[in-house]
Amino acid sequence: MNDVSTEAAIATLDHRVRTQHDELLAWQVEQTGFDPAREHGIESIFTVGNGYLGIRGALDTPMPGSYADLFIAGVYDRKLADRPYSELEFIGDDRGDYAHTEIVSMPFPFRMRLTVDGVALEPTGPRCRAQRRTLDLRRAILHAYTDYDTDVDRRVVVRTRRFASRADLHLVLQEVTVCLPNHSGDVDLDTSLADPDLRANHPHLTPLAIAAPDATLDVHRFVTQASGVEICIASRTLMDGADRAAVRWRAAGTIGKTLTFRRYVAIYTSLDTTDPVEAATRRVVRASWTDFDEEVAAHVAAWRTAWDRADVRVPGHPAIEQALHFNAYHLISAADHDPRVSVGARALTGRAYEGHVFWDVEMFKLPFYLYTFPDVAASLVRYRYTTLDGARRRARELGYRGACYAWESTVTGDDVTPRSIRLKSSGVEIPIFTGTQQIHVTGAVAYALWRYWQATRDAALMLEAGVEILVDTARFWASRCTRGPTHFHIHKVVGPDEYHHSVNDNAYTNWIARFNLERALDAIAWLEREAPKAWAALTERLAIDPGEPATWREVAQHLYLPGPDARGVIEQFEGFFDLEDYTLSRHERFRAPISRLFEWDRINRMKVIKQPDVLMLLHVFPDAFSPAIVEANYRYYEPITDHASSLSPGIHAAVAARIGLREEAERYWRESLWLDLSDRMSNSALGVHPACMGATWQALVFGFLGVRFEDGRPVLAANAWQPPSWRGVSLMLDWQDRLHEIESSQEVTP
Amino acid sequence: VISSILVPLDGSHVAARCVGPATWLASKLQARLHVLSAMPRAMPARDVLARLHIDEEHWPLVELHHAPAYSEASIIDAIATHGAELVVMTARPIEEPENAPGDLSQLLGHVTQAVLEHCGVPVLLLPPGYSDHVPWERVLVPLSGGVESDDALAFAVRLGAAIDLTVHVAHVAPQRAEEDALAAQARYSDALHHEYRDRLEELVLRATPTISRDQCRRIRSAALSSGDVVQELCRRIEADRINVLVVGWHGELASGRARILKQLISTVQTPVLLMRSAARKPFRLEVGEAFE
Repeated sequence: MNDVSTEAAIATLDHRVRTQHDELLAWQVEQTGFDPAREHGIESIFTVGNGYLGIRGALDTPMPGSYADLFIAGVYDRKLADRPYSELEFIGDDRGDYAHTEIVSMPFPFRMRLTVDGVALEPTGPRCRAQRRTLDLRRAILHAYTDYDTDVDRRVVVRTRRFASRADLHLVLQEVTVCLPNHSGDVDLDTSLADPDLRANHPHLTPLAIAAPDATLDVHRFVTQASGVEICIASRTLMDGADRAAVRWRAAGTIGKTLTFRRYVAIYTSLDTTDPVEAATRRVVRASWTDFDEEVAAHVAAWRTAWDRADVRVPGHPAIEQALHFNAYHLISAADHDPRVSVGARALTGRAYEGHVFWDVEMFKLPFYLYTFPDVAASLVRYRYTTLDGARRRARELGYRGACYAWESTVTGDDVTPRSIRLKSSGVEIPIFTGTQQIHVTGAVAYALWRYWQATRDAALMLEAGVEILVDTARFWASRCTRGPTHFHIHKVVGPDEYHHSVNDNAYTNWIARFNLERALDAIAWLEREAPKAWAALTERLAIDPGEPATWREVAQHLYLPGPDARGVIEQFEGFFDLEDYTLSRHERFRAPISRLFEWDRINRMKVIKQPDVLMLLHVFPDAFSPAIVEANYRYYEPITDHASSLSPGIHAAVAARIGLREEAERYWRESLWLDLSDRMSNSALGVHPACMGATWQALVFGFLGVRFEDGRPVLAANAWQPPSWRGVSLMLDWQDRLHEIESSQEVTP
Repeated sequence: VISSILVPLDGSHVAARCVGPATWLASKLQARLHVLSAMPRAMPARDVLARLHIDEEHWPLVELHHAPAYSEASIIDAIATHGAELVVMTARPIEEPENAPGDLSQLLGHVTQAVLEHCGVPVLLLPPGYSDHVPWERVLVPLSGGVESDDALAFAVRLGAAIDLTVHVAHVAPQRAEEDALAAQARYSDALHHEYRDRLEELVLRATPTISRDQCRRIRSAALSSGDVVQELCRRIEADRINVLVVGWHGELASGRARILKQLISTVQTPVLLMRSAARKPFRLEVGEAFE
């Protein structure tokens, strides 16, 4: 071989090695070593889930202070004292007798205790010499490797893998291998799921007896105390080569040989079936050793199908791909097809916000689902139909007509927003105005529904649920608006910013209200035209007065919309420009002092905001404002935003990208991209931030690439942009039942 | 928590003060008490025990050892030989407190200082101003948010659970001499309690993830204050009637290091249990462009 061909061969080899390395990094998140102070955050990011359930990534033998929780979507119970609200330090107030206030944490279904020759193997103990956990994002399997010295020259290597099946949502699986490389000894594996501290760790649950228990299974039955949901967790463990199942195993470990155990865990509740015990035990009782491989294959295949739609590639940048995959992994794991539930603020990865559903589903997460998994988006839209009666009750409670969606809801749509939160350290109470004033969530529901309708043309959903939602939300706005001498106004609200309460004519709220009213008119016109009988039936069922749509039109046409001033800046709400100036220091950004909340009344008088408000308006109505207006508002509001919400950096990135502020766009996008992986806000311990993940995705697709939907397909903007070091970016978008490939490439700037 | 305790004695009455708290701890923990005596000649055991004022009821716990010399090497060697998990040592008393020497080595003696710096097990140090406090009921852990103080709290909670002590935690935020105008503007009336970085609840939670909830109930109070750290801790010792301090530290007493610890030892009357963190397996989360 001559020199040239040798060099070419080496270059090819180098490229191949580099590509393999990049692929590996892009599809896994690996942790080595152990830091107890980081463990709660690690438990959040290593959560495995499938939309029906989520299981935090605690160690197989959880440390005593672990938040080793299993959450099931839709299982809530009455609020208990001392459970955290948004932060460990904040406790939400009592919310009376409502039985669905707080998400229920259930016992950890991967718990095991392993001993070798009577020596307990604890990953956090002194005998552990090496530890590694790897989340395989492509296959959604969490692997753990632990290396112990039980005595001098007596080494034990334990490997486990676990996942929540995407093929069977009620099934979770775990495999444990134990190898004694340099000695022989007795291996004891206890797979009982009994939590030694059930009352403290899972206080919503009351254990129930099992009739005629099968000794080869480990079956646990609970009922929630107020909501009365019955839960069954059935576990069955097999050992390679054994002809029976058992809960506790003793096996002779032989030098150099590997012992392998496989566990099937089935989880059912009374929300799924009338007899959860029967369903759970039936699912596992006949599972054979080899079935495990088939379950793994089915799960991996389901994830492969998901990644065919959700993968985003940025060639040559494995760390960015890793973070994008990580974010998509959590969004995919957070939702499925049950219209009774939606995605909570921290999905099924942690206890924060008590598992409540907010506006972020519609405005931050839903675009990812809508253009990637529209069937899941349909389910999230339908959740708002399932909870429409709750929204109607809420409107009546507040003295209005129609339907007002709760700022925070769970399964019935009733409002579960705390009226105050208490700081544990001082007992000081902070009033919360969002429950009664952050009414723009109602507009968010209409906005998402309409975007869904545009993207899917799903007439069945529109017919069955959509028009009804739009009618009753329009009714709410029509009754909520106040007639003035020349305009209608919306008084006493909290906008997306959340630092200012009881304000009038919040620009974002008024715009989204008008959108809601106009789309209700469009929807009834469509229904009247396309399905007159259905329209007649709906008119009768909802007692729609013939003159009512005209009222909506009048309110929409005359609703006051704050416009740009001479500088091009839109006033966030009436009087915002007259507030006291506040100079935001660098160290307050992303980690705002908690006193922002504590001194809420003072902050209410100052020009400092938590997250995009006017910029959110510009983001959701991209065609309504010129680039000059967008830039004027970005220049005005960005310096006074402290980003105390994870929702903030992604939207700033999207808006900055649209107006060509590319360095700022990239800086904010990176903040958003790595928010959980870097624990940027120091609060990932109580769950990851799926809305931030959704905002990151939106910033890339609609901000950087400027994607618009024209002529039946998504198209890149003429000024589509990507960071200068990127060679290109590619992803798939679903639009009107077709999957479209989006690809953008460029010459790399050296 | 501790099954073997070592008391090295140099024959002086000062060193012998260690025997009281060590015997009490050994009896509470049912631990072996290894007395390493560096006397010119070996004495009959009964005489040694009597001379050390160890009650007969505790004699079964005691093992006597003779060392040819009182040195760092003999003590480190004895720690390994007897599997000691705690060493009890003493500082020299200060006859005139106002004349306390600034250099800690003058207080501790070079052997104690060397053992403190080089042995890997906790050391219970009786300070110069020590006055006998057994039985212990309350332990105070100064919590800084660092790994060393986290480990100290975990150890104190386990010890508390084993011998029925209540655990008190104090976090003293040092006063910042110069606050820039922006920071001053952002400060609120009780900012100390509510700044994220000073959140005590989180500090305690982060420090105790490996402790069971039952054991965590030993933590009876968690106090937050600002000012001079040593003065604030002394105030807490008095207010909470603390019997022993458990302090996490990095293990270096050289000039300019462990300034607060040196001041504490010079000032307090309670024993100070010094904890060094075991070497941690380095933690790494392979994310971000640094791993590309």
